[in-house]
Amino acid sequence: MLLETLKDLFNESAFVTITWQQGILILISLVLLYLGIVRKFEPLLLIPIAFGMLATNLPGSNVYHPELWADMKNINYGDVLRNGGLLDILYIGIKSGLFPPLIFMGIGAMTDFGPLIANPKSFILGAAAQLGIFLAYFLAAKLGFTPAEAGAIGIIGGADGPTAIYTASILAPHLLGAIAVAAYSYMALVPVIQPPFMKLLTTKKERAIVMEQLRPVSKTEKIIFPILVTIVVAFLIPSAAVLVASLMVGNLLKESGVTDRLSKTLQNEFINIITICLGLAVGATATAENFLKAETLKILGLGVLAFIFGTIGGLLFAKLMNLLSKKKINPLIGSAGVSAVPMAARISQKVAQQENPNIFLLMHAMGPNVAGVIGSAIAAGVLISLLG
Amino acid sequence: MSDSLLQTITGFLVVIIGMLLLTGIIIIFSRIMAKNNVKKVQTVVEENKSFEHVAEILAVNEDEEVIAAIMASIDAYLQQNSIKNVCSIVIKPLLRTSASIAWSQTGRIENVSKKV
Repeated sequence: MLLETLKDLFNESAFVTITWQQGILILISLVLLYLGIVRKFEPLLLIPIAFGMLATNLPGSNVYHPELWADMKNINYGDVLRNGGLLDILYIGIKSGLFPPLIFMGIGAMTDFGPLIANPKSFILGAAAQLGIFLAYFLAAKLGFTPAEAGAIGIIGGADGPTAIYTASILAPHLLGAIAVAAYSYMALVPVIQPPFMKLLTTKKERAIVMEQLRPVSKTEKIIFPILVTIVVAFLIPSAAVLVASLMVGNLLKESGVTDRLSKTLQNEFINIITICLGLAVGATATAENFLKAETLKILGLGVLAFIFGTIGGLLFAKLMNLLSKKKINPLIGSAGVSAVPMAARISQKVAQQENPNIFLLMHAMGPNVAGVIGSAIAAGVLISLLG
Repeated sequence: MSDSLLQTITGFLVVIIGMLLLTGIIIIFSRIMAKNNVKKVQTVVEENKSFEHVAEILAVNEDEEVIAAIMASIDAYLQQNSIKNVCSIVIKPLLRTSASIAWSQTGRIENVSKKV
């Protein structure tokens, strides 16, 4: 009797029910946790994503039920609330397109658009660096992905996690886990991916160019900027309005100077809570049937190409601007246009200082860097309206 | 031309055009702001010009005298009260014995030498 009970208990335990696919995904999640905790690769999001992945792949955990989300076009949210697990409920925030814009509000409250306002030409560099998104889209389409899937993969090149998640959740929700992991992993690898191409495509003389100091930006300009950008983008590309408006409302709350409490909340507790929910829910979608495919390897490969193309696009455009402009422009600021704030700008500064220790390029690079955030949101809107 | 290539070109062009438009608008907006700032600065300069003669009259060492008076009062207060690190409001009537700069210099020198 006792032996049978123990046998039944053992048969019900995860040791028996676990599949080899789940085992592999648990190992991958542990590797991601290592990268986040020990190597500090985008830990704020990689750790919740990895833990979500771990939790969803533990047999019998019942925190996420892929079958509830199988028919993406006709989701029964009542069913999700009744029968879903914790991560199913959190995933509603992604499926409904709620979390990424909320994250953007927090990012907006933490962003200083001063360098971009002082040098509006940075917008062009932020646009040029979006080349990676569209070239990766083209390659993905050639590799056999559907146009919507290709668009979701291409957005990895925007080097902007919330934008990638937002676009993927609309265009290709079944690829969300792989796309989010690729996007955040490569964002952490910007210091490894970018410098070789920055050095390859620029001369020593170009890297040592000292740029003129940026003009001071008045408070009025900083207040009007988010309002103006929201109106222009909403008129031009309505599908990008959600992301851009969220970014700009966060920024306006900061710059207005009269809503300190709201701004501080956005910058701290608000964005942190949403980050935890978003990360766990994204990680939960990395189930064996969604993640362990040859497609995932293709996505990871295309993601790194998107980053490289984006870097090249920004650098070449900055070189062109340097040739045409009266004022000298250090082409290294072009690579910061891929977004990945502020890592990409820091890399521009670091590479420039290797040639000229007295150079201070950081503020100049922050212009294209924050322009890249707006650019990738616009690119996401374009892809959604073209392919959604 | 394949659909994907067409969409690649179209998409990238739309992003470039959108960002160019934003660049143009921000440049125009910055210039308007700069013009307004120049006007404000000019107004302030003109207002200052009309007060120049007043400034000339007031160009005596009043500031130095006031600072010295405050320092001397603090000094006198600290001499009277040996308890240090106590913050309180100092209200002390000043008996002005001399209008010369020497008075203010002495007060300042004494105070500085104590701190050193």
